[in-house]
Amino acid sequence: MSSTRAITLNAIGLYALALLLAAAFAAQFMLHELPCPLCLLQRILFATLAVGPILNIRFGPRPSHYAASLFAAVAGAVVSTRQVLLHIMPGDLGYGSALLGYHYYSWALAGFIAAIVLLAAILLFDRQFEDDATNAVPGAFAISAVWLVVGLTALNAVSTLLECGFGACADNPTVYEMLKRFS
Amino acid sequence: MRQFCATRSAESIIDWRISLLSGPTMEFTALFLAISIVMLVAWRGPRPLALGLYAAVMIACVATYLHHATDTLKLSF
Repeated sequence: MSSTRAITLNAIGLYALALLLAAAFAAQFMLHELPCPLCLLQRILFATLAVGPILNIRFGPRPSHYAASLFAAVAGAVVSTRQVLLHIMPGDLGYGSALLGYHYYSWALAGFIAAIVLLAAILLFDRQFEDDATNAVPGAFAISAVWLVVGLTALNAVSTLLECGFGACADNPTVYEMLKRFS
Repeated sequence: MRQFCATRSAESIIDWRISLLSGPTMEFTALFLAISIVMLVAWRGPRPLALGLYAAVMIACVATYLHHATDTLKLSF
């Protein structure tokens, strides 16, 4: 696989992460389900996954960039596993509503494991590291993917500020603290 | 007067310690902002700085997780 193709795959990965962050936003605003602290941490780690692909698009594919994303994926898998285990007791209804029979943290665990497998798979292709793509100019497809993920992450910062205010986030949030303060 | 100043100073240190021990506030907003900055540095800035900031954010994420993982669970049977 050439470095150009690897950069295209990295851009597609960024669009997948953007879709995921947008879906979490949709659940938050359309279903009025506020994310809990562990849910927010999983979103942060999904956003952290994007740093590797951004570095690959800017400086060319390098194993260290994929390693950065792998660390984030493993940390995300640990956090979502903890939340799954918190709600594993029989009779526990879980946190939030379920999508296709699984709660969001179960889908997050599947997403992080899929990311680990995909990152390991793309690392198998050595030829992408042989081309010097340091000075390659990224195309519009890759540039828009980067700005989409950066924008969605910044919007998450705003929505978290609205939800938690200037204090610690509630374990089981039901209202936007900042909006409550000004209403 | 000197005694008053000493007392005020001691109270200030106690307040600071209480607020520090009660746990971090706005940690999730700060983490989202920090990762946005890391992304911008990765896109526009030097590579070593981006990797360094990324490492700092990952350490902060692990610390936040450990802080919440040691919370007392409100279980009822």
